[in-house]
Amino acid sequence: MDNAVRLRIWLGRVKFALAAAVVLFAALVPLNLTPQIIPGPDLLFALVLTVVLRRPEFAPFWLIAAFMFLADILEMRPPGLWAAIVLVASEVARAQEYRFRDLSFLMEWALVAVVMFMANLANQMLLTLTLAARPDFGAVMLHYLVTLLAYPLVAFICYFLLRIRKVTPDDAIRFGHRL
Amino acid sequence: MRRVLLGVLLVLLLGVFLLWRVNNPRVEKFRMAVIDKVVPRFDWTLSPVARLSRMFSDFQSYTNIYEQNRELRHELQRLKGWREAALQLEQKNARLLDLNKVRISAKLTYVTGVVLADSGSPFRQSVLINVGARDGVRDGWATVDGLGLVGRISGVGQRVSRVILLTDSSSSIPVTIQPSGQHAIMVGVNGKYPVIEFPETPEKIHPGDRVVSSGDAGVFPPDLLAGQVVLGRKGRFLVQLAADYSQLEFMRVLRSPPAEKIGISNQIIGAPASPAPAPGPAPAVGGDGNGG
Repeated sequence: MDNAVRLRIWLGRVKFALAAAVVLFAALVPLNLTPQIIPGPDLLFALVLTVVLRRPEFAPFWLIAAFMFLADILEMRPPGLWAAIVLVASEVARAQEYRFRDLSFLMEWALVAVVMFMANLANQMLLTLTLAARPDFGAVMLHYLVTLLAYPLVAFICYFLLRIRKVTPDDAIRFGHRL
Repeated sequence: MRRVLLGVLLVLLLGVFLLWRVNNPRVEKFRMAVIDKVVPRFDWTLSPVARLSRMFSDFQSYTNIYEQNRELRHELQRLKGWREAALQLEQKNARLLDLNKVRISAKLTYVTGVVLADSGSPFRQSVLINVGARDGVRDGWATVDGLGLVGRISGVGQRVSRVILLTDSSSSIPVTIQPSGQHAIMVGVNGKYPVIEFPETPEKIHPGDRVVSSGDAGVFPPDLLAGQVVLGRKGRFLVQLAADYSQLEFMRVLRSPPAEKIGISNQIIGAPASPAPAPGPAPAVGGDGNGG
């Protein structure tokens, strides 16, 4: 791996980190404090999956873990649990990334739907198992659906604004991806 | 190598979660310390963004300014009537207070804080404000906006503290419903309107009744306005909050007198601290109250 490639990888990581920081702090802006009927999407989770399914080397696991743990702390979730679940989910997506390079966006969306559903289910199950207070299941499902609907938007921003795009065969050779 | 690190990280994260389950206060203290470090540092981004988007929504409202103006005139007309009524009542009240020699509690002083951030999660209704332990804020104090109760302090850092709003599903507050004087609990349900639970006699509650904090159990100072009773679906009584949650920028943290501390448990139960060596002197030791 030559220096130019290494530089590109680190630039990508910086882009991902900046995007994650923006998403994380945008959620904290106190605009309207009345509870909304439709919960807002978990944009950080969507961003993690989008980047992992495009350029997995831009979203290393330690960066994902750090951001998700910080989000757990700031958003008053049980600390560590959702971070661990998202970390596992991102590893699942990472292992599937090479299969989705040539497939349409709909297929990717379907994968994301399954991964996100399993993550939410695991979260609810672990919270129940440990007898922790957990949000209402209906509200969680609504939250899941909203996040899923927001996914194409996040992917769009990733493509046009962040310019993080899927691995091409040329990239795959240069960056040493699995073919 | 990567696998090992990943595994270690996972174990670490789950370990923090389990620690949170076992020793909640300690981890929550850690959480508050992290928030205390992180959030004030991003204050310069959070508040301008909030202000900009508020300006934008204000600007949108210029478009329907004509209708607003007409509505306001009507409202002004009605309010003039109310003002007259209020003035008369105020004079009457002043006379009655004078007759009664009532003093309004001087204990209620306050600190004003600016809202820094909300919880960022759709399942939590809380905000961070920019006053903390260095301003003397303590856990459990009530916060109000200009009109009514907003929430209660839960989690104090050096520079910030967290206010759990009345709408959060972990908020439950003893209230009195006026004019019937019913005691009940106001429980947040993560929706716009908290629910009134366990009223003594529900028949005496009517929509439009005022809901004020009751001061029971020392949770809040008494007689802070929370809102009005409205009738929900299935005949449940809900509370329309008096505080305007859609534009909370500032809030007042009321300094409450410290709640009675439960120090040594055996003095309350009444058992002597040390096992009495002989049954004879034990009642005498317990009697003067400092047997431990």
